[in-house]
Amino acid sequence: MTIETKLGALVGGLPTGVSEGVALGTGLAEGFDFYDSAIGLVVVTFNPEGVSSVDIADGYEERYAQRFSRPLMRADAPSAWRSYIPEAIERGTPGKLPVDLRAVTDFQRQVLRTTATIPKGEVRPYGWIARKVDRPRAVRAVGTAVARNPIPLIIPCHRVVRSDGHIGNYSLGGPHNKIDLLEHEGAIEGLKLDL
Amino acid sequence: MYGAAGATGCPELGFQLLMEDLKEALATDLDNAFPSVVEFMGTRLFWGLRRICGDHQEAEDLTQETFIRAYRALGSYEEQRIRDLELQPWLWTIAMNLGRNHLRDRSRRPTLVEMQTDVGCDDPELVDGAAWDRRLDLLNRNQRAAVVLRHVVGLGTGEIAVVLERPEGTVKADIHRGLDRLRRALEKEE
Repeated sequence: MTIETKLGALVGGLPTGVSEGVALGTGLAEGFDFYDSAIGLVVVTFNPEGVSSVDIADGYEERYAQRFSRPLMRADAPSAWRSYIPEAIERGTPGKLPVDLRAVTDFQRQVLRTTATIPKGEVRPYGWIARKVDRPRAVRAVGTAVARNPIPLIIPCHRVVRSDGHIGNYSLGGPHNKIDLLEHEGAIEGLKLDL
Repeated sequence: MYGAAGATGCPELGFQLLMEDLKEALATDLDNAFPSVVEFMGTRLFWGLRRICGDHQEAEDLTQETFIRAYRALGSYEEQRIRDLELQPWLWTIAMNLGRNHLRDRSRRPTLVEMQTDVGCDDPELVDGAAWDRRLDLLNRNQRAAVVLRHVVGLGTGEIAVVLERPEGTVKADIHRGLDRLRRALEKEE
């Protein structure tokens, strides 16, 4: 066997982590990891741009597959901002944590960025957000944007309530979680605990 | 795995057709086609890097980073530019540029999403992998890169000249001298 032939044979298989690493690094797949929250275990998904979704852990796979088309892989978030995730969940605001809102429309993104400014321990009506984004009559559209928030807990849509003081609906597991969260944040007083 | 040029220097027709199909797919639907690039080109890229840098983990990191950079670059290219690419030398140009700066930049490069289980470390090395690392250590950096790109990866000398940014005549001389050293090392072992 010539030395050239021997060199040509110096090829094995592709290491098992490479394809997955490339998929995650390009964002063609998303990573996910589990975190504790005031309403129990949640799944946080992410890509190199930032955190892209939060869901309650129970049954997240099916819901993720229905909502997003990308494959999902258990992974560590980028170390540059991994440590900010628990804090963002606890404080209910992104802070230094990058969030990936590319999947929503410009209007929805504006609504969600405004929602993210509501301080812990306080609530705001949908109309307040509508005014903040210069669309005072678009209260219903604001409601839809808030309901479709892909990153609940971190973008605190649980702090948005109806103007009549009713608590309103909540996509993350149902209204009981909204009550639990507002109670946890000391913001439940004066609210009407029905829809 | 695709058929590489190997020792003959003539890429198989099937390989060329595959590259053309791959480029067409990349030009029209990057996201769906890109995993096929990793599948078809990842093996030679990884093992080439593995032989050049001599470290399994380093080669794995470089392979991943090369593909991630390639994907980002392709996303910014016009369709025709993708169709005109010489895919394998282009990928190797990215890899070698990364390799040059890799150690220096390692501590400050942006961290990517990382797999939780370090599965790559469990992959078996080739049976005589360590022996070839020792033999290839006898070559200087240019000889080693040229020999590996020519005979492990299967690039032509003209392509290697572009990838390594060295004249083709110099590349040929590097390959010749590199193979000579390897031959002598093997003779000593026998």
